[in-house]
Amino acid sequence: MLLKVVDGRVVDTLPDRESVVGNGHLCIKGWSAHEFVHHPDRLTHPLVKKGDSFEQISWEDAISLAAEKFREIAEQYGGDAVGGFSSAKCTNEENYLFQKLIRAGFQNNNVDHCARL
Amino acid sequence: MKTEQAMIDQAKSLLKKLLRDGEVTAAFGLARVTGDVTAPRIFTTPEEVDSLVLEPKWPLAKPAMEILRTAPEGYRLAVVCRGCDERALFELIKRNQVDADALVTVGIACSEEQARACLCDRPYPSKLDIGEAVHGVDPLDDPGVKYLLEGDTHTRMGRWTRVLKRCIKCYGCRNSCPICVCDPCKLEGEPWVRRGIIPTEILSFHLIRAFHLADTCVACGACQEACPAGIPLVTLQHAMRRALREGFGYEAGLDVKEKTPILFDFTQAPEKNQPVPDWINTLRD
Amino acid sequence: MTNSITDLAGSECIFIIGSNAAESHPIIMGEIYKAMDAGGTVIVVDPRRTAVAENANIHLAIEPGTDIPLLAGMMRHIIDEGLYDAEFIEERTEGFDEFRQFVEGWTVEEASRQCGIESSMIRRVAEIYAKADESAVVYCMGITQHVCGSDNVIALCDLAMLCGNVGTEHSGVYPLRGQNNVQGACDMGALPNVYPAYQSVTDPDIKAKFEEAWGRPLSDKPGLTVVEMVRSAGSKIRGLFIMAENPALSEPDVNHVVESLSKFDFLVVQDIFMSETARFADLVLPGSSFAEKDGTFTNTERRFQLVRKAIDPPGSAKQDFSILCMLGNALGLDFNYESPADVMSEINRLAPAYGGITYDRLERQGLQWPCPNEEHPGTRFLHQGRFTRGKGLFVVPNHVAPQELPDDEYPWYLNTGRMFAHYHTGTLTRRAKQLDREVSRPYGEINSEDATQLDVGEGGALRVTSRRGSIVVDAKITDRVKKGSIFIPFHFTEARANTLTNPALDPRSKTPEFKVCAVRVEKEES
Repeated sequence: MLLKVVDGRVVDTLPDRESVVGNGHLCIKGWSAHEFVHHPDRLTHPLVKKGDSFEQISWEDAISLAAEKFREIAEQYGGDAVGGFSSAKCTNEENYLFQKLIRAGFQNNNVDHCARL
Repeated sequence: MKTEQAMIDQAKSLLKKLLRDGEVTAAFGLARVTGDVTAPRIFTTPEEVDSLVLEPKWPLAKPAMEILRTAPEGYRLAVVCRGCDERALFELIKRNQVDADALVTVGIACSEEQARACLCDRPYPSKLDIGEAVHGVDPLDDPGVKYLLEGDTHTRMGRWTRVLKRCIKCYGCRNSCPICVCDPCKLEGEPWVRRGIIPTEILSFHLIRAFHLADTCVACGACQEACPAGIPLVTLQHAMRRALREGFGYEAGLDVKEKTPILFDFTQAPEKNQPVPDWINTLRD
Repeated sequence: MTNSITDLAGSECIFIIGSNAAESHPIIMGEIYKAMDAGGTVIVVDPRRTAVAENANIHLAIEPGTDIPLLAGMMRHIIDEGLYDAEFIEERTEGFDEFRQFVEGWTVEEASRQCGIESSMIRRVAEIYAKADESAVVYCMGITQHVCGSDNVIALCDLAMLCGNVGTEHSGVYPLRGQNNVQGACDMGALPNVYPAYQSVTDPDIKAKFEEAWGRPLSDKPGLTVVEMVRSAGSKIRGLFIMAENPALSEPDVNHVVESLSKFDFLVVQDIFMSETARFADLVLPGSSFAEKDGTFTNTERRFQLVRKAIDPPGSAKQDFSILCMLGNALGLDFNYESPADVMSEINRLAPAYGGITYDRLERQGLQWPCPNEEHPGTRFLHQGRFTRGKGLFVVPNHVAPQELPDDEYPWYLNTGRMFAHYHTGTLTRRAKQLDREVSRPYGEINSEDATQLDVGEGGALRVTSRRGSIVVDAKITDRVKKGSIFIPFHFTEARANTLTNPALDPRSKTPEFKVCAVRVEKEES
């Protein structure tokens, strides 16, 4: 699948005519794959929940908050109390890092994704 | 027959010269973009042209039109064109989708092998700059085409239904077609086509498309190549093109000035008792 | 899958069961059409007359959840008629005698009684499958999403081995994977029981290898699955990190899931949109779409393929790779990777099956694992000459009827699944204009006789209720579903089909029984 990019924006999707898998073919979802990329609903900043709503937070604070909270939980309830859902939409490298993060970070195997659904 | 490399070299020097002499603002063709991936690309400097390639066949008329549509005043684009690309661009000029003054075609010839694969009867553009023209093939001699166009109505309907009901409504035929430019597109919804179901209704979806293109299809085959279900969509158009050729002596895409006879004859009431072409009888029961 | 997508085009018989490839895997369907055009026979087994059934040579509309009876009946006939591949069984498999006893415990007539297909038709398709030179089996979630889903898969593998349809170019067993990288997520060990390349977490040598490589002590106890973690919210599981998943729509019995999501002490969701799940998060991290990242995806034919960054993520959103590195480092792990390629070299070292899959080699067409070293060309089809485990093992499948069947109170069958214009929980596709134009409202397919009885017209409102909840959908009247059945795609947040579904799981695979549960269908008065 090829993306047509104009001035930093994806404007169209094209089939890759040399791909051994697609062989120049796309389904309707493939042809539309660029349409959600620049959707106005895209998340653009880390958000933290305050009461019932979300507030923007810096990356630095977001990462240390996450690390701190998970560490607290692991200390209080044991590493087994932390788990993660990795993603069938993310890359191999991201999935590898995700399972490594859970396994090496919390000494458990509570990692899964939606393969069965 | 020139080797592919010789053709690429010649195309590169031609495009570079056009850019260097300021004849065009940019050139458009295929390129090796990253590593081993080939994709259409706009070349704005002679140096960029070094990544130009000519294969595989990749329909460029529609993306060229899209570039020209949003181009500023005075923008001129050189487009590497096969025969079908040139004919499609001519049709787009006729329909006021492309400004002829903004376009410089650089014509390349297809090989005999490519002509056979595409069932192309004219595998070269009228303005040929690179390569040598080879003989085409008559698509109506192809056994696959004959199979779908011959036989009585019932037989043909059965054969067509069998392939058309494979449609997954990806709109790939419309998206790839250099001539499909209507906005909004009639295929996208009510009352013409029921949304959200596949296979889509054969008569409304496929025949609307076929008739919309009847006098403008240049038989480039982009629709068929894009079809994941392998529906022989160009075959419908081979029949249409034959009707126009035999009924009106007209062929889409050959002459940028010649308007479609269908559109123009409809401005006057048709003459009574016009002879019906002989081949039409073969389509009857 | 054992073989490659394009190998299907050369199959003489393709047996498709529990897959609507025409809608869900249309590119693969193209290869199946090529096989048909070359004279091959396509047999489709599905309770619904799906788009693939409509295009097949033969369609068997079995009763929901009766796959094993059908397959047992077919295998009984194959054995009775001596149509099995005795040489293949003798040389390449084990466990046949016990398996044969199981099959001989069935009769074609009993199979017919249970699955609702005439005996003569069961015999006919058995003969077509067994007599063809090379036959392929294609299946999808219509097979796996049952309480006996893994036994269904076992029965299909038994059928393939019985006829020697494994280890050659155009035979094989084709599970069709759905999401763009569901194969890769499994391959990379995003599963509670295996490290990358399916290396067991309980194997002490494997554990030692990863402990040494990662410099951390690891656990040899299998972890919890998605469903189990959600059920343990606030008890066993206190902190959860969700990367681009949406259990609030995708899990069975979502009302219960939604309740659970608010019970975690701390929930982090990394996504590109504020999904139904992200709303419950304490912290939301903005990740990147496929257009904004470098990396690899692995498709259903085990092919690693490069994805290349075309644009930058919007605002201050980051590549998921970078977010994971930041978080890993903050947790005191050594996550100082320079690029996804850097991660791939670590994968090459630790996962033998992917040892030779380097970025340099992936440029054009990718590589299919197993690919143990840089000289290895990759593997187009598995089990050639020898099964991965040595001898192919016949396993006796255990048929279990669906856990919840229609009764007086809930007299309809509910079947859930997908349709051509949308993807999974719709987070992406419902935001794509063309797809939303195609289908923008939740619907349920019902038979025209039922519609008349309910006095509901096309597009009329239907209330669908199960023991777990109730939703309202538009009626779509079609003869694709049998009387007394309703099919609802699960993509729609405003009427979540998974409000209705039964959280019964296959005990081995932990896959929920999405394909069968009991509901009541009524006309919704406005």
